[in-house]
Amino acid sequence: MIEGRDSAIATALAYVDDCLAPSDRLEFERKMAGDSEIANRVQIWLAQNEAIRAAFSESDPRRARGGAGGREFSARPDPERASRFIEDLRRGVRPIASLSVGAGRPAVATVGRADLRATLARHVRRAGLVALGALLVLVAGVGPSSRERATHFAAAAVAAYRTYVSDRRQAIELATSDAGTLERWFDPQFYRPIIVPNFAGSGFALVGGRVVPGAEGPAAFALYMNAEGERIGLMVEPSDSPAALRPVFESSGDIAAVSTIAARDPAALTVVGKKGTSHLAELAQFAGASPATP
Amino acid sequence: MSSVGPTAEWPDEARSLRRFGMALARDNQWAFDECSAAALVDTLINRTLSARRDDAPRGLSGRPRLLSLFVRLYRRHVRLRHVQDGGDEPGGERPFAEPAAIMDSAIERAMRAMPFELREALLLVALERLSHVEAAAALEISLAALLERLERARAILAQRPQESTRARSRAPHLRLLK
Repeated sequence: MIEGRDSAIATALAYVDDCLAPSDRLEFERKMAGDSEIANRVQIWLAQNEAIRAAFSESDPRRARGGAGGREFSARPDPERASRFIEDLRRGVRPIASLSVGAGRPAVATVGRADLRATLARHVRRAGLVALGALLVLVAGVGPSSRERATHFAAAAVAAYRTYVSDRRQAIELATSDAGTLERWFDPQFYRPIIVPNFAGSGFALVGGRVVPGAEGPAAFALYMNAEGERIGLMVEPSDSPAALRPVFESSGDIAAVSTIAARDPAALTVVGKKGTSHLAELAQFAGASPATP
Repeated sequence: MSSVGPTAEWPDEARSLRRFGMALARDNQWAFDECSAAALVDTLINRTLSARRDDAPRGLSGRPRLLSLFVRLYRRHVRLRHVQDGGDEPGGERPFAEPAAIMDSAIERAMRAMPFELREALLLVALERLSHVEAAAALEISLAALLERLERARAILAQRPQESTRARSRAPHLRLLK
């Protein structure tokens, strides 16, 4: 949890490391436009990421030459390529003239408004190009279909159920019967709202939740139990997939899962439980249509 | 190195682990040069891929799980080396004294001098592009601890080139004599 920490720094780190939802990114960029210190810091951190990837990326053929043996792994890295970003910063080629960022140590340089506007405009142009590319890929049908992705989400939910729910001691990280409490616990970990639906109408009461590995990233996992001791899980994984036409069913061993994609957020929603548990598909559809907890 | 074994069986996973492993293991304390780092990394990759079905750190799956296993094995290796050598504190920083480091970039030197618990956090996020939640799970630490490490690592990285510049400015240099 990030309680007690400077939330601005946590959000800036999440922005730099691409852990923010698109809407949160835009909101943070708006805030950054009025805060030159945080903008300066973010620029430095982004440059660090680029420098690290350039320095250690195996896409450099000279680094990949070693193969599985590794004994031929003697090629020298390109020092100029890796340090170019830092050198540029020091010379002032980029709109940052200082690298004095540290705990309790304010940034010396400021970023001019014109420079910042140009930087933001560049980011917006890049985002537009990426969005256009993604649209073309979807139209061309090159990427995995929504059904295939829903199958992956269901398989991940089955794995999470087998790993956690089978082990009663570690099934949940936070024990609560209140959906709002669990949603507030999930929110800072996903940087976007997670909706925990109420399944009481089907006899399942909320027990708690935890974070589990999903098909494409971390996922929120809410655990429910009925009077007979049957336990089902709802896995919510933030995703930008288009909505599936109908729920996808997946099973492995004695565990079954039904996955659908809620268009409202969007997020992949998977209800998972032991085979024979009734109403899994109905619960998945109900979860997809559930409004946020007031 | 034999062409059979886990690395040959899972070449994509081995390639991904090698990139991360070389960035993590090449430091100023245990693996001074590229060859010894590569030998260590290949050993750890084989053990990671062999253990992929046995060990499950915090229920991670896929690439984050493999990276987590690799980190575990690397930490174990560092602890063993520390006990065997009776040397410095694991993760302790040493100056840039190695001749091999002269040709390396500023960013590589800075990363190698960084305490390894900061280096592993930064590499998982910046190089391997794991989310913060995945990286925290892979390192078996809380999200708050991960953020704190990332901030410290980035602060060290930001200061390092300046220190290098200052060191160069203090160094003796040739002067033109009439």
